[in-house]
Order: sequence, then structure tokens, then C-alpha cells
Amino acid sequence: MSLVRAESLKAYYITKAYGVERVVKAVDNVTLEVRENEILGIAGESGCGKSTLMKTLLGIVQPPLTVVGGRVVYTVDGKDVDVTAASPQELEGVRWRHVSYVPQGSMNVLNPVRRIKHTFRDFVAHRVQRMSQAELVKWAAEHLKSLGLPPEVLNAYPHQLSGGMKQRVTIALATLLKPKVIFADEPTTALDVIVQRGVIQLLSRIQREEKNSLVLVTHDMGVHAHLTHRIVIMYAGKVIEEGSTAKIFSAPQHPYTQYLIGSLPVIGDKEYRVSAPGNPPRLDRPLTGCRFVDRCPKAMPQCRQAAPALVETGKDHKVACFLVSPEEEKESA
Amino acid sequence: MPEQASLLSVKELSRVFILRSGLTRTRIAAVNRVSFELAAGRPEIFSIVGESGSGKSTLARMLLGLLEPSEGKIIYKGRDVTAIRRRRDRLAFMKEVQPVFQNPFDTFNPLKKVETYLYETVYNFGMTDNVREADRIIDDALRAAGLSLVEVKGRYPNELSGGQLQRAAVARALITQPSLIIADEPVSMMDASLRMSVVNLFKELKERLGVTVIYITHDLATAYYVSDRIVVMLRGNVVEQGPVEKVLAAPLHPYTRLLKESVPKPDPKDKWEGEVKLATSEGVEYARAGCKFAGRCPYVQDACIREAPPDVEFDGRIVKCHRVEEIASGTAQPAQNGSAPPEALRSPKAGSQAG
Ligand SMILES: Nc1ncnc2c1ncn2[C@@H]1O[C@H](COP(=O)(O)OP(=O)(O)OP(=O)(O)O)[C@@H](O)[C@H]1O
Ligand SMILES: Nc1ncnc2c1ncn2[C@@H]1O[C@H](COP(=O)(O)OP(=O)(O)OP(=O)(O)O)[C@@H](O)[C@H]1O
Ligand SMILES: [Mg+2]
Ligand SMILES: [Mg+2]
Repeated sequence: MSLVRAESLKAYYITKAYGVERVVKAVDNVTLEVRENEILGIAGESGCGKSTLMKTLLGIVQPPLTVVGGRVVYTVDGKDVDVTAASPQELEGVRWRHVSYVPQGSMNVLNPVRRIKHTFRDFVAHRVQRMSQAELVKWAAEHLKSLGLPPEVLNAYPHQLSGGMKQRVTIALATLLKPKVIFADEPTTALDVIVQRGVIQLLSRIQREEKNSLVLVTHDMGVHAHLTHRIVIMYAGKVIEEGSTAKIFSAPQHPYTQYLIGSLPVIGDKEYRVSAPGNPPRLDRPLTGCRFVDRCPKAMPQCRQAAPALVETGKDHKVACFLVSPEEEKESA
Repeated sequence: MPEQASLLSVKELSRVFILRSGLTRTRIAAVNRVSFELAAGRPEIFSIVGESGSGKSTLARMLLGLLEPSEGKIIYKGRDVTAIRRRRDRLAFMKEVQPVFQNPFDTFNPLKKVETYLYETVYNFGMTDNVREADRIIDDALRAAGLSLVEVKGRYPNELSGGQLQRAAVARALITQPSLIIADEPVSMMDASLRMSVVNLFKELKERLGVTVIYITHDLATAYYVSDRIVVMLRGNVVEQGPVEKVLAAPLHPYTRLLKESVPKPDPKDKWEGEVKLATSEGVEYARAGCKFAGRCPYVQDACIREAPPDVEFDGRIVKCHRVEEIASGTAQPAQNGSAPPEALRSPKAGSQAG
């Protein structure tokens, strides 16, 4: 069963400067689902729209970001809630309980002048029945303990904690209300490898114990390999491949995914690795055809005329590439 | 033997901080008697790796003249950097040695357009007074970093992705055509393909323009790929240094082995088993009288807790470890007490395999 669905979702940044409209198609016709009890990875190059997709799935859509097509649906207690049409109040009701998130760069979102316990208090203030300070501290301390964090951190200010500790505190906040789905945007980027390993262990333990779902956005394929069950590969605002983690790594079908997996440096191999030829297309230009065509070693004339549809090519494996299926993408309204 | 002319010579460099937490004050040597040489006329990529809080940025800030050392010397092209007083000399030094910092969102003022900082760099260093020439210089630098002026012009930092913004920061450092670039985690916000493009860019700068790059990173895979030599830092100390083909392909120090083992391999069939033992607080490790790794090392002995290990020259590198010979020969027995060591460290060979 799916907990969160995106249906033909289009989310663009629309800005006006000197009377000229600029439209960045950061999420362009994306359909995907987050299933029960899974770790779903979202991978792709910098700027391909991962954070934008995540924000839209969370209903955090503020100008210049605009949903111009499609919708996001949450299934809460068996009922569908259309997030794209929901009022801020309705959203507030489901956010943090149904979905919560650890934003990109979240180590820096802890209020620097407040002790961690006060951040916890601010966080639960409007969301939980009234609770005394003592009860709250006890609850927070127990939660931290269950995540392997010493309760003393509640008395600390953010600057007294290391980067890895701060990141674990933000994960603790995001999981406090036991949400069904946790979105984490680059939760281990910029952490050192040992602390990253600790955070990966923590996330995977939470998911195993709570049997909730985790959506992990990162461009680090090593982290995907270690943590996720399924992976969605994005390129220039579109999903170009989706499949089980094992499949994506052992038998990637889209030339971009093959490139992504094949070009990773490994210790012990110094052979010159060419950086990808060219750059991803600019998302503020009109685009037709496959977004990868200019960098694709197997590009065909057809690839310039229309975008390929994301089609099922095997069990739990979808690819958008004319080499695999001739079907063209249908545009949403 | 005639002494080789050096580009940068770092001698017994130290920096002490006082850490306050609650009522306790701890004195930590964030950089502790670090020495190395970068030769002139032999450009190289010199990596500095190590956990968070091991003193990498403190070292970098001293090398950039942004932080006063507590002890030791930094000699750049024969001149003592810490003794530079005149504004003109400082400017000349800054033009030669350019930084790239960790977080591009800190580098760029969120309220100013990205190009503002690039133009400021051009004008402040007196590269030109002519706007059109400035455009050309900036566009060249941006193109070298995989961007272009038209793409960047008019945009604010939050309108670029993290990776795009960091490439703009690398471009900014290239504007003055420096001899030495000190890049403090320049790729930590980037995806693999951009990482490769930036480290390949460093390679190119080294090979084509003779620029030496000090590359500070958590990413051991790109450090291996791009660098000639590497130093591994642990709580202020360099614990292993030498050619990267030795230090990373076949690490000897148990800490280097742990670092290498913790890199998540891009292969779902090759996952870690067992939980990693995380460092106790930084302060505790800094305060250790003996080896800073004693609390986590599978091979710990009494001597390791009592005395700081010596620098041992071994197999073409320098290793700060009491038991390096035994570890290298595979005869060192892991300590029996304490919690189980990470699995890579249980078998003496696992950490030393290439690939
Ligand atoms: N506020 C904004 N206004 C205009 N364009 C924006 C804005 N925020 C992001 N963009 C653009 O939208 C695209 C997608 O950005 P997004 O932050 O979603 O990428 P990402 O995949 O999360 O990248 P990264 O891996 O670097 O975090 C990029 O081209 C970016 O430049
Ligand atoms: N200005 C300062 N005052 C007090 N302590 C400091 C200061 N700057 C750094 N430190 C301390 O020195 C130690 C080394 O910090 P440093 O920033 O050099 O580490 P790093 O290796 O760069 O870490 P990271 O990988 O997180 O960037 C840390 O314990 C840090 O808290
Ligand atoms: Mg992002
Ligand atoms: Mg640092």
C-alpha cells in the first residue's frame, strides 16, 4: 500500500525580473509512490530537483515554487488527502504525524541561542496535548536514549555539539511524533565517514523498529547502496529509472544510471575517469525530448523529438528510455 | 645534499584552543606539531583527511594566514607567513594562496547576487579596472569550473543548487591565478559526477598551470583518485602520512583503516556488518595523554594509553603508532577486553587490501 503518492506532479520556480518571466522546471511530470515499511532512495545529480520534489511532497510550496500540474496524495488511516489542494490548517494536522522531515543542511537549523530541550518544546508546543516541562524533558530524554544519544544533549546549545550529534538531534526531532513517513534530505552529506556510518545505522534502526517508511534524498550512491530498498533516479526534473536497489546497481538500464553507477571512484583504482561530457540541460529553457540526449552515448534521432515514458520493464523496475520502450511520455494538464 | 626549494614549508605547527563546556575548561591542541613540505616546481595534490574535529580546518586557516599559530612556522616561498605585516605584502600573499571553503552558502552572501563576489575579487586584487575585461576573467574562471557567466548572472545564492554554488566558489578562487589553492572540503556538498569534475579540474590546474592544491576532504575515494600524497589527521595529530597509494590502498594505522572501512561502497552486496564504535566526545579524545585513538583502537595496550606514540618511519610513510610493525606483519593481537572492534579491524588483512 502506498502512503504518499505523486501523480504527474509538476512544480516550477516561476520568477519575474525586469518583466521577463523565468520558469525553472525543477519537477516535471513526476509520478511515484512511497510504500509502507520501505526505505526509498531518491538519487540524481545536483540541481536535478531532488529537494524541490521533497518539498512538494511535503506540501511546503512557497513562491516562487508553484505546483502547476498533477497532485500529491497522502493515504492517512485508509483515507486519501490531496495535499496540493489542502489548506494550511489541514496540512498542519497531518504534517509531523503522517510525514516529517529532516531538511537539507538541517544541522544548521537548530536555533543557536536555545538549548536543545527548548527546541524540543517549541517543536511539540502546537502539536501535542499540553505537557509539563518535566514530562516533556522525560519524553525527549527517553526518545534520545532509544536512539543512542545521551540525555545530556538536552541541556546543550547547538554550538556545543558536533555536526554528527546535531544531525542526530534533528533526526530525533523528526521521529519524535512517530510519523509514518520520514523524509530526509542529504542527512549525511558533509558528515565525516565514521559519523555518517553512525547516522546510517541510526536511520536504518529506526526504520526497522518502527516499520515506518523513510525517503532518503542523497546523491551519494554508496549511502543508497547501504540503506535503501528501492531507488528513484532523477535527471533534470524527471524520473528516468526506478527499481529495487539490487537491480539499480546490478542491472541499470538507463544510460544515465549506467553512467552514474559506473563512474564512481574506488580506492585502489587510479585510472583516469572522465567527468560526464557536458552538463545537464538548463531547466529554465524550453525542453523537448529526452533530457539526457546531449550527453547520451546512445542517443537516437527519436530522442530529440519526444520524451520517453517511464514504463515497467520487469518486476519493480521502470525505465524511461527509447532503447527500452518506444512509448512517449504523456503530459499532465 | 642541497635542500630542495620549497613552496610551502610547515614546521612543528601547533594551535591551542580552550574549550569551555559548563564549568570545565579544556585545553586542546587542535593542531599539534604538524610538519610537512610542498616542493616548489613540483606541483602536487596534497590531501588532508580525518574525522570531523580533527583539526583540518584549523590547519588550513593557519596556512591561509587567517589564524595565528600558537607555535611553529609556516614558510611560503621563503617568507614567514605569520610575520607579514604590510597590507601590500598580505595582498600579494592572498593572491598567491587562495581558499575554497567548506560551505558555499557561507561563502556567498544570501542577499547579494552571486556574481557580486566574483567582481569584488577581480577588483580587490587589481586584476583589471575594465568591466568588459572583468567579464572575460570571470567567465573564464566559471567555465573552468563547469559554469558560465550567463548562467550565473543575476542569480542569488538560493537560486543555485548547492553543487552549482560550490563550483562558483572554486571559480572565484581561480580568478587571481594562484600558485596554491587550499580547498577545505570543496566537494562535500556535491554529487559524484561534480566531485569528479572538480577533482579533475584540480588535476588539470596542477598539470597545465602548475598549481599545487591542498585538498581537505572526507571523501577518501576522490582523495585516493586525485592526490599524490596524503596526511591523515586525528585530534590534532598527523597519524599517517605518505604516498596515497600506500596510505589509502594499504593503511597501517588502525584509525586510517577504520576511515577506509567506513566509506560506504557503492555495492548493495557489500554492506557493513556490526555497529561502528563512535568516538566519545572530541574533548575526551583530545585530552588523552597517550594515543588519541586508544579509546577506539582494537590493538590498544597499556603503552598506548600512557604515552603518545612516536612517529615511526615504516614502508615509505610515517605512522604515529606504538605497534605499527606488529600491525603491518599481522602479528598484533586485538585487545580482548572492551567492546568488539569494527569487523574490518578484526582481521589484520581486511583493511589493507587494495580496492
Ligand atoms: N528559489 C529558486 N528559484 C529559482 N530556481 C531555483 C530555486 N531553488 C532551486 N532552483 C533551481 O531548481 C533546480 C532544482 O533545485 P533543487 O534544489 O531541487 O536540486 P537538488 O537536486 O536538491 O540539488 P542538490 O543536490 O544540489 O541539493 C536547480 O536548477 C536550481 O537552480
Ligand atoms: N575558534 C575556535 N575556538 C575554540 N575551539 C575551536 C575553534 N576552532 C576550532 N576549534 C576546535 O578545534 C578542533 C578542531 O576543529 P577543526 O574545525 O579544525 O576540525 P576539522 O577537522 O576541520 O573538522 P570538520 O571536518 O568538521 O570540518 C575542534 O574540537 C573544534 O571544536
Ligand atoms: Mg537538494
Ligand atoms: Mg573543517
